[in-house]
Amino acid sequence: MIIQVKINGIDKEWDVDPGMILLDLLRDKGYKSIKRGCDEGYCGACTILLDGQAAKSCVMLAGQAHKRSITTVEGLGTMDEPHLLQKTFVEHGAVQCGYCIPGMLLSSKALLDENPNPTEDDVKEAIDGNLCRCTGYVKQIEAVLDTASIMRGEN
Amino acid sequence: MNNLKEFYYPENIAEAQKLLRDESVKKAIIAGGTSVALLNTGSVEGMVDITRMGLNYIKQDGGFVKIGATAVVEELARSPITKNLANGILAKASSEIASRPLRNMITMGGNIVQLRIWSDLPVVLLALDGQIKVQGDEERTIPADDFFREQPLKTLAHFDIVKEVVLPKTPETSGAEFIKLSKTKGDYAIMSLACYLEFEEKTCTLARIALSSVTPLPRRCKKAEKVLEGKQLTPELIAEAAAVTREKTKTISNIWGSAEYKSVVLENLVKKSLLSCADKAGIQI
Ligand SMILES: Cc1cc2nc3c(=O)[nH]c(=O)nc-3n(C[C@H](O)[C@H](O)[C@H](O)COP(=O)(O)OP(=O)(O)OC[C@H]3O[C@@H](n4cnc5c(N)ncnc54)[C@H](O)[C@@H]3O)c2cc1C
Ligand code: FES
Ligand code: FES
Repeated sequence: MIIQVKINGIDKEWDVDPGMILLDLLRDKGYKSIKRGCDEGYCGACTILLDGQAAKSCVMLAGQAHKRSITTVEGLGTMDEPHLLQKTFVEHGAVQCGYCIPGMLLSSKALLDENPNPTEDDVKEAIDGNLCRCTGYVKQIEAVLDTASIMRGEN
Repeated sequence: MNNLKEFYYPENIAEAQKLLRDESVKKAIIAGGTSVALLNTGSVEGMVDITRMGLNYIKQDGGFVKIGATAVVEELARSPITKNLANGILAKASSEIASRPLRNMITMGGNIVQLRIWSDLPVVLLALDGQIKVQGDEERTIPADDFFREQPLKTLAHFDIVKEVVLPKTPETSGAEFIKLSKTKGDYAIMSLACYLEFEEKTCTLARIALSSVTPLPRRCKKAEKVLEGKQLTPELIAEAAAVTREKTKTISNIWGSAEYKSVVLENLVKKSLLSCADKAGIQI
């Protein structure tokens, strides 16, 4: 069946098998920033933004995305012009292997979009669903808090 | 793992039911999808997506709080309405489910229709005397006690749609508590329980003790409730109610805890949560 999605601001019409897992569909369509970790809703590697809210694409069917808007890291920034969150993650050394980072960035973006002034606990809650096997989360939490303060014009 | 060919996006319940009743294509309901996406849906060929029918409300209506079936648990965790109801135990239980991205997806209806051993919301409905409104051939209202007596997914007809959950507002002289025991916040429950006490003067006039993850289905322990009702509560009486809960509950083992372990912890958690209910009702024990 045909589904219409707005992905990273661009309208698409895709002829899809609606029972496909959304993660598989998006990766097939070339959005490779979205990663497969557990396939069961735990790890958060597959996180996308659905109508601005973080969601796990491994526990969604393609048909559920019809007429909704999706953001992936491809729509966040580019190599030359990274999103402030991406820049700050790099500056804080918050990335090691990088596998969890796309999901982590999107969960953080959803947080900052709704709350420009998050506490450390708010950040922890927002990225609670994004497991990182390399780092200890500390630098990622610092990076998100730092991004928030830069966005508020504080440093 | 499925044979799906089509999705449908009804705009209202009548349309959704028409689709479900038309059996030329075998169809099923999808809400948040967090369960459906992971399960084998067998010969189902069409999914009726019920999340676009305006059933995502949380509202007050006279003495009741009404929650549409597709309200997501993140909204239940945040809404001032749920936070203000019965010491906020529905909001608390919702906030402890899984993680933020999943809470953005999981719906009230999905959580109570397909009971998993870890489902956290049914005990809250049991403790707060919730009513579940179902649209079948006619609209019917099912008390939580009856709704959870069996796996709802089995007792509901394929065209039945859970529309709304109704929770009565609780009086000043009452206290409610929800406790989830899990290894980390958001992990599956080793057990969860919700208790509710109502008082007149110092006498406990109503008690509800609801348990989850310790028996195959969530249930109340009415024998233990009877221990409290009509009496002025003392530490001994609360200890007795907790002991009766333990005695009358045939706990099951699973990967999160053995039956023996759960029995011991259950007694302690019932005690703790009853004391907390009394405290919240302003009753000194
Ligand atoms: C990794 C993970 C961890 C989780 N942890 C927890 C936890 O700790 N505690 C907890 O409580 N839950 C937890 N959940 C959620 C739980 O397991 C279910 O996935 C969830 O409750 C299903 O809700 P849904 O809205 O996604 O339903 P769906 O998957 O869309 O539907 C589930 C079933 O209910 C039926 N259905 C849905 N809505 C209606 C309706 N209105 N009327 C009639 N039938 C309906 C569907 O047909 C389907 O059979 C977790 C889920 C995941 C993936
Ligand atoms: S792949 Fe989706 S949460 Fe792990
Ligand atoms: S950086 Fe390797 S998993 Fe997070």
